[in-house]
Amino acid sequence: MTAEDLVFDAELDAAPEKVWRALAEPALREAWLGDGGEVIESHPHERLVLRWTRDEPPSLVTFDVRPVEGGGAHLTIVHSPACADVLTITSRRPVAAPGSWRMAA
Amino acid sequence: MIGSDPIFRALGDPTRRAVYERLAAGETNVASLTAGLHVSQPAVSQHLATLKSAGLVRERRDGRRTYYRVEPEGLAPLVDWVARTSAFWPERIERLKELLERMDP
Repeated sequence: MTAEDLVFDAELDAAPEKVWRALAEPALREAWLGDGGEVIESHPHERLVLRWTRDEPPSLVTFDVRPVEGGGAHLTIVHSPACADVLTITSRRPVAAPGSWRMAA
Repeated sequence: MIGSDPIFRALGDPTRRAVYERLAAGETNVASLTAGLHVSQPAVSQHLATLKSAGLVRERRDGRRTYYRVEPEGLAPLVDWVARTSAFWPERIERLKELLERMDP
């Protein structure tokens, strides 16, 4: 993960399998997310990575699903802008990218 | 389109990002920029030209010397992207929750 990644967490009142379907089945995904994501990596029930073409140049969106005690699911969304290490994005090493930079805002 | 700007391409290159980071520490010239990087001076000049055309870097001439520094306004598109993306995902997560309620178990 690099410094410019944006991370969103959600506790979902649904089984991880169900959350996975909402992520992985194109029609269901489009129903809540709209279009603009191309699947580039899929680990069923755990991780889905989209090339996010609504950003120009395309960015990367990673969804991680894990079960929560009591039957729900925890969803983590990491949105990595295209100025994150582009090689990391295209070669798809894990979410972590070497090196990072801080916004000098 | 969430983010569409040359700064994403400009900062997508690791060497260019390193050049930018060095400039963020203060104004300097090509020679001293090159000293700490494992690239040639013409390459650094090329990276500076790209950063300049992306509006991230400004140059100042002093006689025969040219100095470079970061353009503070240059990161505004990235700041915008962060703001838009930060609003986008919570809204989509709400839509996902609604979809999960409607889906078959």
